[in-house]
Amino acid sequence: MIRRFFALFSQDLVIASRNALMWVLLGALIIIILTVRLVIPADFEMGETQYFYDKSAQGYLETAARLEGFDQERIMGSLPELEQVVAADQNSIGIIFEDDEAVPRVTIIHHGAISLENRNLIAAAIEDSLRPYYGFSGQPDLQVSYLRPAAEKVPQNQNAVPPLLAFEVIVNGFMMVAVLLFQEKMEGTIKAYRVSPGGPSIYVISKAAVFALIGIFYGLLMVIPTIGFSFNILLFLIVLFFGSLIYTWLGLAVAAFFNNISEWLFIGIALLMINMTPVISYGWPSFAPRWLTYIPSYPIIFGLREILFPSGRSLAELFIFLPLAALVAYLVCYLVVKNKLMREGR
Amino acid sequence: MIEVRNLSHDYSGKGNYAVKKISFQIDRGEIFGFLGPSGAGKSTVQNIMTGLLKLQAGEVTYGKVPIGNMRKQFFNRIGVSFEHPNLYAKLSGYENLRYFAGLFDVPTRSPLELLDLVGLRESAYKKAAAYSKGMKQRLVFARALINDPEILFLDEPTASLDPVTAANVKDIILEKKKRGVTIFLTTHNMYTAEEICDRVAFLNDGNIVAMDTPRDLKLQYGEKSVRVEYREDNKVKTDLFFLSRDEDRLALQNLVGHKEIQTLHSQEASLEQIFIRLTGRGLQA
Repeated sequence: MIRRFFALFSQDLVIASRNALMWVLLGALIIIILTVRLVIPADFEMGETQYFYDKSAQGYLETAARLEGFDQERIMGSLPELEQVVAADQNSIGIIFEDDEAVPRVTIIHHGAISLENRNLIAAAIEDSLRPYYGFSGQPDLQVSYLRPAAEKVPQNQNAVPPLLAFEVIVNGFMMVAVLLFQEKMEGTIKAYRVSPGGPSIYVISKAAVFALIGIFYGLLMVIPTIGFSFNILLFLIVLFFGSLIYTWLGLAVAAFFNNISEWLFIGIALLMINMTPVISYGWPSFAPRWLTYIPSYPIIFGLREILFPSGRSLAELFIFLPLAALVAYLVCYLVVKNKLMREGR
Repeated sequence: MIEVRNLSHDYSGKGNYAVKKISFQIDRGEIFGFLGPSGAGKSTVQNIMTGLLKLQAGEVTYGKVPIGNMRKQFFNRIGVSFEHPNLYAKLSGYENLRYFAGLFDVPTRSPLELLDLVGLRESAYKKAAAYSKGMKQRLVFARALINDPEILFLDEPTASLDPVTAANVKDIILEKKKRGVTIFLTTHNMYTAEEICDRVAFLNDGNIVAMDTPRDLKLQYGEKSVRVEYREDNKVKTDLFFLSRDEDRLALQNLVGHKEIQTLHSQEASLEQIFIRLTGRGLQA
């Protein structure tokens, strides 16, 4: 059994390594590393630029703006001047302040729509700055308590690595195993395998082992140049290993129903797109409907983030989920390979 | 040793049988030839016998054990050479054999030794994709021998081979027979069948129309004839005389007595002529 596994594993590994897609993977790896290290900045904030025009005689807003650290060039001398700079900058807002007999009035000019939340935030910030000038010296009594120590802020470029691992490295097996399978179908080598003592279980395990190994190498080659060694490598390897097994087995189970890459393409790409939907939650964590959390990539992407950038969150659920999901994926794949692939033409 | 009884197979499930209630048995160490044109049902029978196709109706037994009860051990005992070379194109000839050998639980033969046997030693490390059709055919044949099988299924083993290489493959098959290997040979090449088969079965439209040794088939269905080349009016002419016909015998005597004979050959009917006589169609069709 072990001899048989190693024979098939070696064969599959050699065939996979000689596939032109390996060069595509290498190219993608280089592009990803360069993008993370050189293209995406470590920190970026998308926000509007504020320009001020203070019509009041006292110049309260102008003073408050200077105290907040705004440059002189943000403070305009006239309304037309303010309108001109705001019109020229799509990401800007203009704030006009008037004081009519100790009754302050603020007007905001902006491009397009502005949400009520944003409008209120701007109003609160202005109100806070002007409080001392209108006789309110006290600060609101606010307290913040943390459930666990606040996590360090993750640089934006490194924050892109967990989704890349989940949707490039781990799902690699899903696509590559389909390519290998269609090659075997075209060459007719499955027929030769079927008249050997090989059997479906070794076939299924060998394919997954190959892509787990490739996934581990691919993942390490992506993470080390972009993040370094400042994470728990063992936990990282376990996630890559099980993640690759799950997606290779699912990929094999799906591909077994098709004869070539053209037939597979529509369904394969559709499944990969569904699998990518958890990236929405990754970008906007408050969006996490129940159905989304059932997609295997959901716990994987957040698990990888926790391993690479620890915040103290428990990984116990992830490490229960991964072997269970792998077992289910194996059983599904085994049954499909045994009853479909190994019986084609029967 | 191998017994096939009332074997039928219907791919469509609509009563269009590719094979219809055929029966035969093959003894240990026998070379049994299955002859028929393309589409006659030869490969269907081989695929059922190797487990590639599900047995729908009838029985296939190996030493009285039904094929349905065969487990992995069965595949350790058989070798299969396919008509269409099915190889890993990205692997070399050597790698194709080495990895395939690793799937067996029984001792296997050295890949290089086998490549040497089929004349591919020099191309051992070339990728199979670069092999010619004949080289691929030989590699598939070599792969069938990797586990030193007790039973060999050979589907058109000499197709695409030049005469010298085909003769080498036939010698290997005969050598295997000498060692007690049972061989099921599927072919539409009557010369190969005639040369190496102990018995042959003619398959036409899913039915066995005749089954015997090549010699007995010829005795039973063939007509002996004499082919004569003679000179007449400064030209060489040829005539064929069937000895079973009175008028032909008289014509032959007359020719020998009055003409200048250049060559005179007695000849037997070929298996193909017999097949045509029995089915009304040729083996190449």
